[in-house]
Amino acid sequence: MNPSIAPEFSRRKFIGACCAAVGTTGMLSALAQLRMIGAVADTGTGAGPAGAPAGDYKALVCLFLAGGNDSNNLLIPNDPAGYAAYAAARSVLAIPQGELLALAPHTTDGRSFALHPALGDVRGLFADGHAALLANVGTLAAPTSKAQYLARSVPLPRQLFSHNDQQVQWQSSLPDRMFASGWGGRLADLTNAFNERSDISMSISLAGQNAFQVGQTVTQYAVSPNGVVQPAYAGGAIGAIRFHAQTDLLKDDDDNLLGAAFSGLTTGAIADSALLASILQKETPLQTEFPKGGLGGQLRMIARLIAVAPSLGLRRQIFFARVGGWDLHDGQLPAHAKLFADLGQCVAAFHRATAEIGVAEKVTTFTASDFGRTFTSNGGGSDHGWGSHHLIVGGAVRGGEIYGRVPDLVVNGPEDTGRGRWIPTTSVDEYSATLARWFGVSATDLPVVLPNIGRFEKRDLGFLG
Amino acid sequence: MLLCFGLPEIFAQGALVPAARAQPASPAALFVATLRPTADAPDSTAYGSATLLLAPDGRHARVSVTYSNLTSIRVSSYLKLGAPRQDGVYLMNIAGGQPVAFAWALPATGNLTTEDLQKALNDGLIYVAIDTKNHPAGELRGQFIRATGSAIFIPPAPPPKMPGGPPTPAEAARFLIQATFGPTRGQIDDLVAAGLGPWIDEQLAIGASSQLEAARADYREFPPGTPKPKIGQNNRQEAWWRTALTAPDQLRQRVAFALSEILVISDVNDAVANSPEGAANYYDLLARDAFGNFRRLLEDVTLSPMMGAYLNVFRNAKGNPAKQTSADENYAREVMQLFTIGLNELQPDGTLKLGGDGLPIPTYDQTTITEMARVFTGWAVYASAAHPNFFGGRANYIEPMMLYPGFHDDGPKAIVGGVRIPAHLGGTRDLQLALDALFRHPNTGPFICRQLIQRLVTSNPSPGYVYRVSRVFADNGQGERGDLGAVVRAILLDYEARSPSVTHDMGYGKMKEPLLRVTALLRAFEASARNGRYYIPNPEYQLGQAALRSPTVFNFFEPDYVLPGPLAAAGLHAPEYQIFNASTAITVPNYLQSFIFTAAQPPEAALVLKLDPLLPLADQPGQLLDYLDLVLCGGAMEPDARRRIEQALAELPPRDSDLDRVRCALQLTVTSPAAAIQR
Repeated sequence: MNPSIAPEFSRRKFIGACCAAVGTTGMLSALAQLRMIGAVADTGTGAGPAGAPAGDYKALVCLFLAGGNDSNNLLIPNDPAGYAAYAAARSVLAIPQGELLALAPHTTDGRSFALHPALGDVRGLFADGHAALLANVGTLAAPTSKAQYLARSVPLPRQLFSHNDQQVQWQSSLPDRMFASGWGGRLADLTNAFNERSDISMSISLAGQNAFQVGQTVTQYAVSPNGVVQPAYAGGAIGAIRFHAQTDLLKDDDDNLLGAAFSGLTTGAIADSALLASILQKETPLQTEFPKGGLGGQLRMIARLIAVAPSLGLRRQIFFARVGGWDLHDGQLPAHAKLFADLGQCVAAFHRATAEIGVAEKVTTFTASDFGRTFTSNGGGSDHGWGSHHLIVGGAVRGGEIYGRVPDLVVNGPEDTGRGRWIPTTSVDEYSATLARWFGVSATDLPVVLPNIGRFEKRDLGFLG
Repeated sequence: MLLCFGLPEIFAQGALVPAARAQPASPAALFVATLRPTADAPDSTAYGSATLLLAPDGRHARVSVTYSNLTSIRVSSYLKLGAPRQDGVYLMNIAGGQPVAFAWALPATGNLTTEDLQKALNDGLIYVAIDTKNHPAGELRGQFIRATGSAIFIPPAPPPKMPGGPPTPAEAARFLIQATFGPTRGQIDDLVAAGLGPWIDEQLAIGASSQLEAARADYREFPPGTPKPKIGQNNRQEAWWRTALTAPDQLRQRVAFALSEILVISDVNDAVANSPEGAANYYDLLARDAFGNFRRLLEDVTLSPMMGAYLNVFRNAKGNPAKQTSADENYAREVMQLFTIGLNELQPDGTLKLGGDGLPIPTYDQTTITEMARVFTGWAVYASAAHPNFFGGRANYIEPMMLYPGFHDDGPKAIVGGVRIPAHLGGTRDLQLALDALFRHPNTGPFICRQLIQRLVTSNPSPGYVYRVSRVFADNGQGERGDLGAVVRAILLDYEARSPSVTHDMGYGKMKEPLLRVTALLRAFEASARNGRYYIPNPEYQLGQAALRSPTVFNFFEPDYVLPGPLAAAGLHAPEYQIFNASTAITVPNYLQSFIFTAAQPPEAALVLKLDPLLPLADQPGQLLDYLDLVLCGGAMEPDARRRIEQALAELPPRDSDLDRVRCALQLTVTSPAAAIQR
């Protein structure tokens, strides 16, 4: 949908099949669809579309932190021994203890933790029980210990520490094979049956084409975070005559490359704005204010799209948003503070917006990122790591807890592959499975969405209720 | 002009191939990226340049990146894949330090194969990105595009001879699209009768209309109702529109507009915003000097208090080692980078000059900037008082700046082009010598001429076109270097501007910038308001641009803008597309349309088109379209487009009025590709 990408390039790599018929291709059979609907009824989250109760709506928002977030400074040890070790190992990257925002999770393994000082909004959500943290999650092809990592005796994700490869693997949850589809795309393929209508896709991206939402049958739509500008349209019969002529004039085959670019871009802009206008036509303006900037704009538009979901006949929606700048090899401390402040404020504003719409417990936002970063610094910043901590926010979240296991944070210890690149203790599969289960996928159907899930211990980490 | 290298030498670690020993092998491909601040970093004046030399097998590249003047500490640099304004896919982290050169083997990554990367590079989708502490999501970026360059210059062949004789109406219209703010039917007829050369002569002789006077007149006639009224930027914009639409010195004003997009000041800057008269006076300066000598223009601009305020020459004091201050470098950098010589050495035809390593040759480095900055010290507000105050005094944004010798750095300086300025010459002499050095630099002719061609005629002039015009810049035929009047004449009468056959080249022409699309419509139909004003104070909302109001010193769009896709793959730049986005793609035609479909009784300030000449043609679709095609498209509308509009007219109900019919035809024409692209 984005006219600025050369068409042949984007179609081949990013846009899934456009065919509307379910079950004619690949991994999804009509039977699997029916099974899923039936199975969902078993778990009591509601019947299939025919008898779906009016209140049965769910949305997932994937918030991708591009570049690899140094989550070692997101969730920081706060007990005396833990902090001392943290400060010693992180040296110039260590946040002064006096500035930390202490957390009081309901359960504890004996250690105390705190949040980065710029994440005041997140601490508030955590205390209210609407935010949870998931520790040390990362791409894994199979559960991996340090010995196995060193011996290469289990399959490992390809190209660990490479931005693009890891971003794609987080979004596909297929770390050990060539990319074919994203887990969000597979999830959409499976759950689209919940939706009454498919004229507007349930998969919407606010950040352009992405790997996460590539599926077989459900096509992702890229939508601009900004408002809609519509071509002036007179209406009536004469208006239609003019409009059709204008459209045709833009279709003229032009040998001249500048003319062809003009026609192509104008046509694309008109189509994009028509799509968004058709989506938002029944909108009531939101009161909640969002921070200025790219992420605020994306989340605000997502809130608007959630608000109009009933008028679009959508009971399941998956959104993708993206914020860059996390690859802090240098100048980390001030830049990171800025990024965290924006992230916290935006996520809090989005949660308030979902409350305003009345769907706070039906919308779950979760962060993802290429990888964490090295525990030790390189002098001014940190380098590419592996396992990292992530944030889940929403009314359905069993918040106020730190799920998973925070590593012992011992450089060169049993969980470290070097410089504090922690081996993940939870896989992206288990993280995604928890989200997919809440979204309406039965335990038996999880492998359709997450083919590797059978290799891991948990199919539900329990952070969603 | 192909690059020929022995492959093993150039791609071995750090080795260079001496030019004399270059072995003819299959050619490597050179790609160049101009690094400019991103839209999210308008406060940045950073700049940079990157080159990528792709081996013939397409599987190895040597990349080098230089950059300077970041706002804050660099956080990361990358090669990425994506379109402008998009946050693209990471391909590779570029290690720190600078300048940096490294090998890139186009390795498969994520879901991209090597072939994908090769195609992306060819399509203009690979870019360099630099993130900083203040702008962690990106401060500098630039897309790679194929570049032509050579170590040894071979003058391009001269073009074919053109037949003489008077221009046809279509040829006259095409000329007026290049040389004015838009043709009128009467002007087309006059031009056919007079001939192009005489028209240019006449225009060169007409003096400049003054936008300062027009702004002041507008303010007097339409004073704002505020308690403390003062002249505003809205009055200046009125003067701009009035001049563009009605002034007789069309060619001069059109060239002044082009110059305002090269020698940029903007009322986005507070000092400029607070001085509408100063800004209008600056524009008048450009108009007065438009046909004069470039050296004179350069000096007038340098000493303009508006430019001084905009780029910090104003009150730029010499450095004080004790206090660890040094002269501000902003003007020194931009006068070289943007106003005269650019970042890389050029051949006389505007193509890149390449060194023995096959890479472009920077024209200056940071030391040059620091030395040049010392030249531009000691200038502040003109004052006639006996003891004027460098740091104070009444603001005067009209008179040229005055030298305060005590604040000028009088030491020796080693400036651009190897020129050495001895000590104790004084600020005025230092400035003269520095401007002389820039004026005489071999880059200046091709650098400025190419941009003027881009603003008037076509986005991608051939090296031959640039060469022919640069030679006129070098010598106007009477031994004078820098004669802008001669340059403008050469641009407009060149084969590549006048020949009908070039209009069929797939890369010829340019997209008209939105302001010019609007002036063309309003001029063609003698738009006027009942209250006599030409009042469009904020065109930027609908059009994305307004006179002297660009977001940064880089104008609304850059000469080297890369639009990924077929244009980039063909090595073509597309400057005006930088402001063509999902919003302006719709707001610009909407705005044009708003002049066509007006209420029966529009407000007294509304500009109303005079459609009388079209009404008699309402029932003659062929003649109606002849007229519209001529005045709005320069006669370039394709037969298919014409047929489609005629079809729409035929579909209109018979009871539709003549006015409705001509409005329909006008709307469809003015929003069509034929009217948006000039060829």
